[in-house]
Amino acid sequence: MRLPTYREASEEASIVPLPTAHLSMEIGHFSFDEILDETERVQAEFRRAVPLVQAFTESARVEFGPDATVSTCYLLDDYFQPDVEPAKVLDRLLAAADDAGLTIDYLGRESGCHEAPVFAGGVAVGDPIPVAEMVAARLVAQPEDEETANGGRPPTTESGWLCNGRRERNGGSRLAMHPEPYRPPQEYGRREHSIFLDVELWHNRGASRRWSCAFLAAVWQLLRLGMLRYHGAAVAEPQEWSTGREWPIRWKELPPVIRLNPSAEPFTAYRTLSMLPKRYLPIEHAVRVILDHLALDDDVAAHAAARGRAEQVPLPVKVVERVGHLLLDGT
Amino acid sequence: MSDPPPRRTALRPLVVLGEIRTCLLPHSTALDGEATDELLALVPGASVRRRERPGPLAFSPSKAIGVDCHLAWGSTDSVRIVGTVASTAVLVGGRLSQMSSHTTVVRAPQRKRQPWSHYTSQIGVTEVIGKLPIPPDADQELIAGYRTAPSPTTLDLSSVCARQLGDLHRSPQLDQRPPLRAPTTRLRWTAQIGGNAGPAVSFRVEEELTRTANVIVRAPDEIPDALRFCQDVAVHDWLLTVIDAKVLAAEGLSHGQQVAVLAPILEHLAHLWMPGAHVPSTMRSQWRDLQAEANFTKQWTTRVEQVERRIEVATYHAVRGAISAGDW
Repeated sequence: MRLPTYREASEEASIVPLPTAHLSMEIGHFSFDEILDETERVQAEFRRAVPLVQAFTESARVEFGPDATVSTCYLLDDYFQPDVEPAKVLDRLLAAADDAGLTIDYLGRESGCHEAPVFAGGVAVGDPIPVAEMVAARLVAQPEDEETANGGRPPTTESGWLCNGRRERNGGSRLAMHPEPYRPPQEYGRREHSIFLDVELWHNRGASRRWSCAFLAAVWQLLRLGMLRYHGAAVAEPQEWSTGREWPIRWKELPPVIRLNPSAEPFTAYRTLSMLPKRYLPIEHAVRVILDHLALDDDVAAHAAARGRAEQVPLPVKVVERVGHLLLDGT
Repeated sequence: MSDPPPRRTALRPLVVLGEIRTCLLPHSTALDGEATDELLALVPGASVRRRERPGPLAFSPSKAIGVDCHLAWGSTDSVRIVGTVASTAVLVGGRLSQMSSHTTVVRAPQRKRQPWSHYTSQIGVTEVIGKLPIPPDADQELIAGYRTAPSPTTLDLSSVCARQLGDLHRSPQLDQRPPLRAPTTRLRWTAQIGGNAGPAVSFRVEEELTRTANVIVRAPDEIPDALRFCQDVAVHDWLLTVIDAKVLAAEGLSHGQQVAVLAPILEHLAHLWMPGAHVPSTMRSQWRDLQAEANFTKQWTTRVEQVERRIEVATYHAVRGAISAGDW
């Protein structure tokens, strides 16, 4: 293609490329209490995951060829339990993984899915990137009403709720003479019957906004898929944390994503697989509904698609189709 | 300069429906590059695209809203559409602001509403999921329907566009003290695919502040060019509308008042006239055609000269008045 005669850099989107693995595997999720009080069970779960990691790695090779690259990760719960000291949790968790023979390549912090500090030379510098806010701004609520949502009044997520269909309408009406009939909720795009889900994205506590676990988990998927950029720059780029270095006192002194294994394949991947206990089924259903509602930046999507084409990995247009789950039995 | 390429949709567009509102930015000075980036940062973390030559031009990242409604079909019938409308804010010379909202209408592969991810993966596209009357003139009928006033259930791009322009103008960054008062014009535009000979344009001044345009392009990938063209035409039509109105408003005023009405045009708007300069090469000949018919530039230069002369005359009278009053 012939280049245009005249161009300006400020009119072109410059998207920082991220190294990309074929598959990002998330292994398990435990609360800090579980890690501290039920370490043996955590270790048993990790032990059970080892052959699964091998099997899915093998499966990725079947799908993407013998050179398929796979990385593993684990998401820490520091957003909802910020008071637990990092060293206590991390030492236990990593020892349990070690004993089980499981390699965790990357650790992610759930708080980093809210605000991701930018790290340079091992320390946080400047203002953190408002990741959750960025993702929330890209939500396109679907019109709840069929055939009457003409743009006059926009569908909105202002209330902090997002659903996969049309909410129910209660029979009550201000006009007692004309009671409206009950209208059940309805899922859009259903086959015949509905599974209606209404997801709380956040609630406000005074001046501050508290993001829901499901929303942060959706952000976590986007980070792993490499679909977020801040003015073209990478968000939550993995930072090395050498084995000898001591854990800080506070979570926010840790990078949002830590590379534990120096020889790990890239953190971001064309596809993700999250292996989680089945009690996370509702959360992950909510994650999929949230991902369904996102209009990701055109230039980032175009960049990802071009990269996939160049590496012979056809990328589905819908980001939700790049997200996989394995729900494990047990509690 | 073109907008980012629209997400691929495998389906051939029936028609593109759009509205562009153009007005003066409610601010006392022209915004520089940094202030422009700040104003147009409608989506946090997404980049504002800017160009400096031959004059500053900037585009916000696009915002989408979901719709599920009807499109009038001809004058009596309608079809159901589901999808999204995309809107972009444009800033010209740091002075003029535009809100540009549009949607590309395609035939849906399936005749029922899909899970929402289907629509968010193709922003700015709506799918006809109702039964569409048989072509051959589907696009013509949809355009005719779009040109009629919206009902409570038909697509209301006008409201979308007006609301988003209002949101932009409420930015705390703007001091609400524009150097002159000027109206908002609206251009309702449509684009069709077809015609082997090359793009064609028809532009119509409907009433005082409303215009319509139809663009025919050869292939779907020229739709962004058609959009850019319409934005550029809207800017220049707005400039003409304003200068005409100001010259008219200056009639019969005292010389001092005439200068007060006319001088801001020279000071703040005159340098913005550069039709076609930012339009992709595919659409430049359409600007020439439009100029050949309506001669926008001739009208503009004549008006600017008229404004200059009036100011000169008014200044002459003011000076003469001062001399005869013995103030000199």
